[in-house]
Amino acid sequence: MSDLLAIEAVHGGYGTADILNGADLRISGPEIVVIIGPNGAGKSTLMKAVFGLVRVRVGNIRFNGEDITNMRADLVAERGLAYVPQERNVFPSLTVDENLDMGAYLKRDDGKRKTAIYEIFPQLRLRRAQRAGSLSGGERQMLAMGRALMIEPKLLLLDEPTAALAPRLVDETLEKIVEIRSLGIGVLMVEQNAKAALRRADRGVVMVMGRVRLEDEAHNLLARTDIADLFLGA
Amino acid sequence: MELGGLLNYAIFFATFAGIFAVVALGLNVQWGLSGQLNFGIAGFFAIGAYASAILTSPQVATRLGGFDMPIIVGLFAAIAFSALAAWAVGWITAGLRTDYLAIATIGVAETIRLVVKNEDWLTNGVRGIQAIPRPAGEWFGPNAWIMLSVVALCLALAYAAIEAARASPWGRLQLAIRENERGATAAGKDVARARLEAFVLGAAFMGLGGALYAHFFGFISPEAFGPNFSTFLVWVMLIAGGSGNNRGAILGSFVIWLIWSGTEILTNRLPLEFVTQAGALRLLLIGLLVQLVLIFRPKGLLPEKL
Ligand SMILES: Nc1ncnc2c1ncn2[C@@H]1O[C@H](COP(=O)(O)OP(=O)(O)O)[C@@H](O)[C@H]1O
Ligand SMILES: [Mg+2]
Repeated sequence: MSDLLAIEAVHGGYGTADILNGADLRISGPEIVVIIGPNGAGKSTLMKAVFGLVRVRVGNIRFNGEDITNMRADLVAERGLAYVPQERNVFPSLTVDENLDMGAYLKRDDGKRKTAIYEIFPQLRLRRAQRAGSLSGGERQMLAMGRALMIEPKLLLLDEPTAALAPRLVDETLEKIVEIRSLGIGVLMVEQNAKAALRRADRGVVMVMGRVRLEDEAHNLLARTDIADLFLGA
Repeated sequence: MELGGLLNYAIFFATFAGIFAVVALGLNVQWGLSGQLNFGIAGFFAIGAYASAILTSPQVATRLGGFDMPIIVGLFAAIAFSALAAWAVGWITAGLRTDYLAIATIGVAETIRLVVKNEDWLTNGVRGIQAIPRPAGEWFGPNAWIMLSVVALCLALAYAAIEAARASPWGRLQLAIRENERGATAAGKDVARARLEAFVLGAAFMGLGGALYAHFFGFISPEAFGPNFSTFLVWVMLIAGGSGNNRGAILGSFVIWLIWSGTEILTNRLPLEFVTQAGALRLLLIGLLVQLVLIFRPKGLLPEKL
């Protein structure tokens, strides 16, 4: 069986200089994979490259066996890959409901998908007619994830979903991600709250200077003192 | 002025303002809804005017057509041709940032004007196209009430169509793109295509406006399609009225057209040595007015309701 996502020796970046320097990464199915690494390592850039938002110069990316290297973002999404950027990931002047509609793809939602998403995020249902701009940070993040789930993805890319959230909300958000995995959806996420994320993840990768330097089961990474000292915080 | 004269003028005024309002609604789709700068309104206006004029006017030896077709055919052709032109322009400029699009549209409009001016076989060049039929003209002759009704009907239809588009999921997508383009891309939306659709839809109404203009006057020539008249004035109308708000676009058209017509009365009283500058002076006055509106009502007379 082919991998859900296979990133192979990818080089690429924004202008002439490469940010990604031979990045490799595989996701085999509905697992949670956490990318950790220092600021500027290229974690966000890697996600954008997968989603067709950053040019891949060398290397290739396959999704479900199909080559999606440098494919337009809307076509990538059509194939079942969803992406939630770290910032500006909702539409402030649209309501919660309308934001979710934005995620509905090709086939119109008959209401089932939205119902399912409100089941995962009940607090959103309460605010469905409210503008996204008036939501709290945590609610906004939930909405962004909900919108991404509307395309019924096989794989979800999340860029620092817990950044800028109060500690109490970090765990809550991560639990939602575990719930998403239980629906049979793979999750690739960048996380600064590395310990909390790894505790719920299947695997973790450490990215440094545009490459994946280390890859292991999440509990092994948690156990390693060198990793802990470098990347996991106190 | 006598009462009859006043009424005639009022009808003339309302018809003209109504035509502008159709064009301003088109711009409101492109700019108000989709955030695209089009400084080439005159080009799409001209395409609509010439398309309908060539199709509906009686046959002449010196140029293509006329084909003596019903006006309704001309109106639809105007919509189709200007939409097609917009599609080509939008397709070529796809991916340009909005400020570059603006520059490109200036060039496109100028190109269209030069074609209209120089391709005699098609447009009769600077001599223009005459004997463009009036609505129901074969029975009633040029009748101001009928023309006004036709314009009012087109305006009402344009308004209803654009309001419906705005309230639809398509309209919300446009709004979403305008306020967070990257977010829309990340949500898997084909942003370039949505933009193109809005550009084409807007241009279609500009073309319709051009056709109405042609049937209103019965005569068109390249002079009417310079940038001052249709492009500049329509922008002023939309900004003053309230971009993003369709009623604002309509209100702005009537208010600015009233003021524009008023400045003519003013400049007609200028001493002889200034008369040659009258056109520039009118533009200056209108420009000043926009400044005032932007200072006191930055979002226009009827601001956008989000
Ligand atoms: N839009 C951009 N244009 C140019 N350079 C960028 C852009 N975004 C990020 N970079 C650069 O790419 C490098 C990696 O950034 P990023 O992928 O955001 O890192 P991380 O997410 O790991 O913190 C940084 O040096 C950053 O300055
Ligand atoms: Mg980042």
